[in-house]
Amino acid sequence: MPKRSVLLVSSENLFGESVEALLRRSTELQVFGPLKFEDDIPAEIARRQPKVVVIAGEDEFNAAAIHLTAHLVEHYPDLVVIRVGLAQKVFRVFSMHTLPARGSSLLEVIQNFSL
Amino acid sequence: MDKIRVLLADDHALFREGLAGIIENQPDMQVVGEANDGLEALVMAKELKPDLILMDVQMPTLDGLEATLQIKQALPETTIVVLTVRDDSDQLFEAIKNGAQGYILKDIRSHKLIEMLRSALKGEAAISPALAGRVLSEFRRLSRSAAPSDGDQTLLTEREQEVLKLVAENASDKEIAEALTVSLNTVKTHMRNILSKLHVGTRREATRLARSKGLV
Repeated sequence: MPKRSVLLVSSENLFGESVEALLRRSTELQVFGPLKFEDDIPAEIARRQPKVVVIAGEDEFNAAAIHLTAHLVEHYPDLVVIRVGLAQKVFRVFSMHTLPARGSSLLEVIQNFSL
Repeated sequence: MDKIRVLLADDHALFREGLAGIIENQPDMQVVGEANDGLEALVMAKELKPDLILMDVQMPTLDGLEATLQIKQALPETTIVVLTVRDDSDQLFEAIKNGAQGYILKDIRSHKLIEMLRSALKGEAAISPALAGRVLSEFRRLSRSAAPSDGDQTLLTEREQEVLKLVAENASDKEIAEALTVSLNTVKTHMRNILSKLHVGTRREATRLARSKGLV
């Protein structure tokens, strides 16, 4: 089975390396990074074609992390973005799904979405 | 050779698990336990008797600083290094006072962290370079305030004490010169001598010290 590729972006050295160590433990993942926010992340996505991007920073609500999440979700519809912060004890998963603009589809999504 | 036994105390499970991975990658280190808060760290430390504890500060139930104090009282041989996101001088001094051998910020690179942990185990201070300067400043400040003792009053000449009294009343050098009918240069010389004798750097510090010691 092909490995699932993950790109790691982190503003915090130790936290980024810790998340990297955790991800690399899994033999089913191919891990790239950690990259910094200032690196050319779109170029790296184009080159590596990751399925998942993990953004790890001190504060999950850091402006750079929020901006990067919005950019990735908007521009890479098939990509799953996971954002985790040292200051928060949770991680958040972002993804975008494109569906036909039909009433039945809209109602179906609302009914079936796991809340 | 026996491996260095490490206990991790951090309530951020993801960070703690990743950090455990980094430490386990060291050929001479092993993680013997992971605690989710300070109380758990205290209980596990007493039970496992690790060589080294990496302690977060902000944790539920019992914070890392209090846990450090209690663990050091029970296990003085255990080396504790505080690992935190907070660049806070008060917290740094509290950690050191409570027995921590180091205070490291979480933005450090992992290889540097491991290097500093090894230093801490040898009895060296493991403090993030950005914070080490503050420890020196605090040491200097404490040395200065501790230096003058019972002989403070006799340390200063009668004239210097008169000058200091006027300084404490917020008089300028010119006003002091007029009040004591001496030249401005003489006042400046007295001021230099006062600062030097009291081991302080500014008039304000001299005034504060003089008041606290009852010199004025």
